[in-house]
Amino acid sequence: MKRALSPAVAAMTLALGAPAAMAATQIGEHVSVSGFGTIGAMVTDNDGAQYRSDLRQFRGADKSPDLGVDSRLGLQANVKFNDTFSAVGQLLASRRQSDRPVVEWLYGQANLPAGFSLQLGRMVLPVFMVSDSRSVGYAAHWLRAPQEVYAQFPGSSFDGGQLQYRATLGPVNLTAQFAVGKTKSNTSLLGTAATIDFEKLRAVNLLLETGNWLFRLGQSTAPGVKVSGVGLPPLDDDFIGVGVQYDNGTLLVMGEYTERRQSAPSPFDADSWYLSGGWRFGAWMPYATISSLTPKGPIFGGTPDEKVTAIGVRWDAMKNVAVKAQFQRIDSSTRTNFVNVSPAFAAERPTVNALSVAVDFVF
Amino acid sequence: MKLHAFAAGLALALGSLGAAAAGIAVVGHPGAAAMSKEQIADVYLGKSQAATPLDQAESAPIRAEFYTKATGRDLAQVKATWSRLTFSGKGQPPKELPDAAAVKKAVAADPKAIGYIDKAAVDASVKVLLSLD
Repeated sequence: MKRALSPAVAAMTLALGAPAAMAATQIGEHVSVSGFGTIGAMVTDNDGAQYRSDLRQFRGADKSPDLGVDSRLGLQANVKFNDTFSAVGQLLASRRQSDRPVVEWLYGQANLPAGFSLQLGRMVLPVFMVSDSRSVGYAAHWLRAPQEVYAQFPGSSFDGGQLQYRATLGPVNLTAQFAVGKTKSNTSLLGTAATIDFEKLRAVNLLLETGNWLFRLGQSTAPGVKVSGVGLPPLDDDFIGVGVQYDNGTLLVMGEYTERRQSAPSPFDADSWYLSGGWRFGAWMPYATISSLTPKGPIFGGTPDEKVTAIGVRWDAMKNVAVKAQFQRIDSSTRTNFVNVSPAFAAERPTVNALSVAVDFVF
Repeated sequence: MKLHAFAAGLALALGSLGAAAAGIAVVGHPGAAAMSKEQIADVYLGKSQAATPLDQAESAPIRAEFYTKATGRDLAQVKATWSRLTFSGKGQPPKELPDAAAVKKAVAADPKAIGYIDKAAVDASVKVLLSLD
């Protein structure tokens, strides 16, 4: 039997079986184990293509409800050896090319003097404002991050090193990250299985937090990115992103803008942005998101902007559990968020309506 | 008779008002400097490492009241904030202590630690860094 653990089944078993253990578990003085998960279902009104939430997913949701688009389960162990040295490991089971759990993160950290710290191993790729918690549904107001922006990076973690600096200067909290490493992802791209290999990736991420505001500026560059299977030369990749978030406890507004520019033939060049807002009424939080992807390169060249409108609600149903529902109108012009696309769908580029429900939990 | 009932009612109302007005004290080591509400909110929401925050039990009413007053957020929002930090490896939520006595003891022993207790529980072992009424 080659059948791997299905993330949806694993998440469900855990959510149903262990509500009593809904708290981070401290093992001895140095180790704490915690976890997060989502059980999600999605259905669309179109059988011509399947919607997915990650370029690494080879199937997705259509008219028959799908449990694999958003369901996932993560387990994390933090080990604190002393005030200087610590380590973090995270196992994540979600639908990718295979359903097998992967080591999402595994790194050691050394706290250096004057607010500096050094991380070595596999860790989060800091290319978006909420990259760090994208798979933790419970931490976000929306059901899933807008794919027009977030699907532009095929990988979510990288192998390498990172220097981090954190400082508090009066009312301003500053975080700066400098990362160097590599990341490789098995994706389904334009109907082909393609491996995207960033062999030399450098990323800078600056976060500035003051009061209810968060400002973010980031850039990643990678020379000679290899995309196998689609007949492209190595591409020099340059990706920048800016983001702003305001959250006063009741009102949440956030937005990001990104630009990708590559060396010739610059197939994947694109600008993208989203704007999302929500209002908290006690345990209920209705929200709306609009997102857009404007292709600038030849692969999607000439296609109009892809626009998606989403409305949804988050309900903090009980301690450590949030229930969400989201309705989306997806204009499918670039088709990047769809797999198993039929010729008719590709030619027609219809507007797809989709409904998703999810239960997010942490423990 | 009616007047009596009114007086009793008034006394009760004033009494409960008095209890509510007792308020919360954010306390630190006797040698620590006072902090602003914004600084305390930043520490308890994981934005700043200027101090080491301590929590009381999740079921303790003072915990919800503290977060509402200091950060404008309810416990579910605070949990969501810390789950983002925890699962990005950026930090661990405040250590949870059983009661005010445990908070005072921990704060008195660690110059970086801060906690919140009922004002009535304040004594000479700790310094009040900020009053939340």
